[in-house]
Amino acid sequence: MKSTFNIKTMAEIAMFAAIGYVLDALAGAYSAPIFVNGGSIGIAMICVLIVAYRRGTLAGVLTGVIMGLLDIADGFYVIASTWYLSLAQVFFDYIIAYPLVGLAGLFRKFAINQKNKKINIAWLIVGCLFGGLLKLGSHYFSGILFWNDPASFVWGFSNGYLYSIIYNGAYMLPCIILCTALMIFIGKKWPMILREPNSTLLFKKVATNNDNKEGNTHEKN
Amino acid sequence: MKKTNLILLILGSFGFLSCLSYYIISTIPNFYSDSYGTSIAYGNKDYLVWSMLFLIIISVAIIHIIEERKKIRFLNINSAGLIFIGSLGAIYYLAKAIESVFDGETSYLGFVISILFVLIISFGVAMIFDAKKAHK
Repeated sequence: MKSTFNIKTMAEIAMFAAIGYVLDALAGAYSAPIFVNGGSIGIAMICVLIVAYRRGTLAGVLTGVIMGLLDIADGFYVIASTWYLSLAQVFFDYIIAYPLVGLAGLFRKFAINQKNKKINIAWLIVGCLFGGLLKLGSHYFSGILFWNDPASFVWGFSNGYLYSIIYNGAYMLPCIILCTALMIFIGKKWPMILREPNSTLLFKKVATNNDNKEGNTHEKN
Repeated sequence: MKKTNLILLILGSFGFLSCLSYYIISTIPNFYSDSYGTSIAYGNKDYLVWSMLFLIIISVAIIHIIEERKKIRFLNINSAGLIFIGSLGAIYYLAKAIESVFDGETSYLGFVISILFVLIISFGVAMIFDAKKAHK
């Protein structure tokens, strides 16, 4: 726990959650005319995936929770039949959806530590698909549990189960494909972004002037 | 403690608290009900995003203070901070501009502010390249 949640990790979680929130807002802006019942095609998931691979599952899940809370802070839509149903719907639609993507971090060890690059990439893909499909599952369950009213269906559907999987799949599958492709690109081009922080671009530990002086003294001695 | 870090911390905290307060004050829940459900929208989103920008400044200042105390140095903190701030602002204002286009009230201000934030990103990237050159 101590090594997982130091100040740098918390700063990274906050920064990536913030970027994820605005990426979600951007995707929402151009997807709104197509997906009138919510949902968008974007790459907001990438922020959770990067943190999950970089800092572990817990950090990834936390990033997702913050993104969900920011979404709620921004405004949300509830079905106001009963308060507990509305609460459950908010939980499925906002709170749990992005944290599930963070579970991709469970495959972190396999995706980073292998000597064979192809196996690394294969595990990276598995993690992205796992996280993405869990998020799709969350939206699907929310769809059949809370949004199962044929009056609100678009695209000429009448069956709630079929509608939920088609509607949510229509934006989630492109999201998963986009994010997986981006993660593969990052894994190939800049693998240090996904690795442990000590060897990364953002927080590299180097000796200070004082340390250098000490080092020089030792050499002289 | 260096003066610049202290100023950054005070400026960041002041900005963060102000923006967050403004956002909370502007939060007069806008309930919009239709036959199906209720939409709950809040006040000015800009304040929420600006509070996040100031939060990044606080993070950078705190990391610099830790550097001083532990006598270590982390590479590219300032450039990473600039890149994050630039990305956050650029993406948000681009989203706002696109929203305005779909609403039929095209606002070019969003695009202009977005480009300004892109300049901040490029400044951060340039700083990374400079640091790499100096390291070589």
